[in-house]
Amino acid sequence: MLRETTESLELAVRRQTNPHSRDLFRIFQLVLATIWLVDGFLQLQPVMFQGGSNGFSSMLRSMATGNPGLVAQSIRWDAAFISHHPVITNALFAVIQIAIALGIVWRRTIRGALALSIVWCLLVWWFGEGLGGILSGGATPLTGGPGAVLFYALLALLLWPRTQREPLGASDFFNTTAAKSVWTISWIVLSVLCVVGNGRSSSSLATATKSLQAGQPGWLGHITAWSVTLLGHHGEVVAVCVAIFFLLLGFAIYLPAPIFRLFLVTGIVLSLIIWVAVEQFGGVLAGGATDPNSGPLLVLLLVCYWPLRDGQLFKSRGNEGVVEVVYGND
Amino acid sequence: MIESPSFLYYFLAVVMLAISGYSLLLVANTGRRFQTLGLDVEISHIAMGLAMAGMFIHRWSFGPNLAWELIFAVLSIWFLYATFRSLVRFGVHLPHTAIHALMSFTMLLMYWYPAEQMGSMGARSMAQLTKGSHLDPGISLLLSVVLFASAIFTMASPNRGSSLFGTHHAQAFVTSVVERDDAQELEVVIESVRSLSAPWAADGAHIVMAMAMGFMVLLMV
Repeated sequence: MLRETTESLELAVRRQTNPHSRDLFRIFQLVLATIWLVDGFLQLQPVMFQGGSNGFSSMLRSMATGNPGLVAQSIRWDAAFISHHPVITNALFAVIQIAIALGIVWRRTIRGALALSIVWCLLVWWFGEGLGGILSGGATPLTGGPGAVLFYALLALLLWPRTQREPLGASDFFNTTAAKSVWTISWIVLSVLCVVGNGRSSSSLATATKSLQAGQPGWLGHITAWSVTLLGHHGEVVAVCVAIFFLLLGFAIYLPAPIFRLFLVTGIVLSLIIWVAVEQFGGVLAGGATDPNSGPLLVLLLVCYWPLRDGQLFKSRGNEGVVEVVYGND
Repeated sequence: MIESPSFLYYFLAVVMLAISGYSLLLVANTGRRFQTLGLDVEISHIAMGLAMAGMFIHRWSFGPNLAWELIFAVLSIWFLYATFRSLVRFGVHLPHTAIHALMSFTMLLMYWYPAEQMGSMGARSMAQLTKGSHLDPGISLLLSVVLFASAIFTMASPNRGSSLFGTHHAQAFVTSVVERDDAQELEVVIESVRSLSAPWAADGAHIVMAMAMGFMVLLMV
């Protein structure tokens, strides 16, 4: 017993001190769970429990604008229902998101949680984000299009538990080839969305950025004032440049790993810049936001595809902890 | 006027008090049965639970703010020292005391910014608060994300009971017991693990507290 306990503690310490002993794939799942947890608690902000014109339901109702009749009508119906039952519906929404986060943490429930997250994302995409503005021409990735929730769903598929040691980006849901195809298709779509509809309109980009400025802290206000000016004068150029980069990024996965890594780093930096200077952290700092928008999800997506050397992903998978030793097989 | 979800705050306040009570039992148990491993963590859980219950439900708060600020200042310094000591002794790693240093400091911030707005939790968003306080909401968001991440990663950790066991100091302690060939003492430790201070319960207390504090920071600071 003494020897077992000591060995168990040594294992625990080794796991803490050796960064490569972590299961990176699992860490990405946990990062996704953390984002879901943040979303769940953002849903518990007091403003979300309010009905009427200043509450969560009015936020939803505004998503109907510009959408075709059937879609707009369904969004308005949903908003009206939430407006009449703000406390119970909002509490339910928060519980679902927190349950998804906790479900991802437990290995036994992770598949169910990820499946639930996909269904939830599709519902939110329709009713909460008005299909991300795709049908109204406002789905530019610069402002979070085509809807941050779609990235949650995509990540759920990419981070679906796997039984084989595949490269990053692959799971039991997507094999390596499919994962590469998903990557390319995703970035092509994002590239196209940058230059269609309002995506390449300087005034629309500047207006969309400016609309989020109210209530932001001073330092963020300074940054966004700069981005509003830039987008107002050169929004079209910015949109085209971003579109070209996204297109190249989509095909860079077929290039040698060092070049692909360079693209990934650039993509991460660009995503962070967009998240801060244009998306403004999804409006979280101004209060009343339900999620941090697409920035952190894009970064997680990019990191998920980081090419690793063979064997770097899984090095140590020891499961023995103090509990197992102390409790044995009871 | 935004209607506060008061049921939520009552629920969280009760949970905070429950964790405080549980941690109090652990402290009593620790003092009675064996060494002081994890004692600092449990003491901080008691303080944070009581303080946060009073923040969620203002009527439940007691004691002058200055006293609480002093408690959390001391705890912050202590956990920083413990983190430094652990790093020096065991090399680069993330000790459990580091997150407790952050939690204690966060408590301190919640008393500093701003006491007059912490009466009842309704009608709060970070933007509304920044008008009356000076803490940047960016810091609030960062703190809350770190606290939520701490909850998630603690929950997923294979090292159960990290505040008491599975740490470097725990290993050093057990190793010293083994070296002294003191089977009886180790048996006392294991008995304690089996009973009151079950690792899953110790972890659970930390996880719930981190989530509640993350939520509070998201709303209040």
